Amino acid sequence: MSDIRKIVAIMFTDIVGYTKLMGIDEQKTLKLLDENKNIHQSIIGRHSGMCIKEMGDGMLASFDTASDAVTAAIEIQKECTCIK
Amino acid sequence: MLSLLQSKYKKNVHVLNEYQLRIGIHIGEVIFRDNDVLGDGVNIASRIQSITDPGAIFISEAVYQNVSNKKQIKTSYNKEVQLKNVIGPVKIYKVLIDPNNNDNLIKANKSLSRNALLFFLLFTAIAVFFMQIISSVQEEKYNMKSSSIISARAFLDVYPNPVSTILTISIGVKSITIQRPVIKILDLNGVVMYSSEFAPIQQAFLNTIDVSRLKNAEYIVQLFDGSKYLEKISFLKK
Repeated sequence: MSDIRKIVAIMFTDIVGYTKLMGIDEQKTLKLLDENKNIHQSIIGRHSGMCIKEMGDGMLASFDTASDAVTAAIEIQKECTCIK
Repeated sequence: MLSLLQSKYKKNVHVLNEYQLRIGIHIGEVIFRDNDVLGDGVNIASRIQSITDPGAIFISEAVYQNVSNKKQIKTSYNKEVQLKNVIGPVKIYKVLIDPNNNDNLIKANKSLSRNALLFFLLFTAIAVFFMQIISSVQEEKYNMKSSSIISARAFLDVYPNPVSTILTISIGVKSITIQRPVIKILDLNGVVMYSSEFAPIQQAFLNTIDVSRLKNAEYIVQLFDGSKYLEKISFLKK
């Protein structure tokens, strides 16, 4: 076992009404998931974060500092407003 | 590579109009094991995310304490919640995504840093202190003034002005009674041209005097209570 204990900033994100969107238009929602993932990965990477897990519509990432996590979150929200 | 990804997702706009994210952030000790992350810190972050408003970013108090001194990050206190399987209530703060937005600005003002809040309180205290001093000074002034005019709350008026024949003298009193009202008309050399005593005045008084015999000049009407001078007013005889 290689357990590493660390103090990190943990960020959880998910898409509101993901299952409902799937019900409305599966193809579009899958496309949206891809875009969403791309946004997350690029922005999280830019703020020295780490994508740990993907859970369907959600994402779990860790950051070394709280400000990195919050700044990345703001950028992700702004970017997803642009997609809309 | 990153720029390639960015350009890719920027091309695929307008997929679904309802697309909104919820983001929750917490900071704490976690355990990294086999490309996974475990621990209470992860659970709290997950719970915070589950109560976040659509399109919003909610952070725990621990995160807030770390970012509250960062100028570029604006937050507002949101609520205190009891999260499932988490001991004790957790204070939740909301990150303002667009602080230039008016609505957000109001909230940002609410979440001023402690220093700013202290400053504000200090300023308010000083302002209140000075206002009290000013008002007490004004009160004193008023008291002095009112005590000096307390005997002179009689308002003397004459009309028409200029006058040729009949001069009307009007006296109004407030809160006092003029026990022995005496009206005198003097010329500018101080020679008394007319003097008469009237019945006590409690509210208002009107009297007419024929001044047609006076020479054309300026005159002064004086009002006394007995021998005590109250008011004066001048008029022109034409």
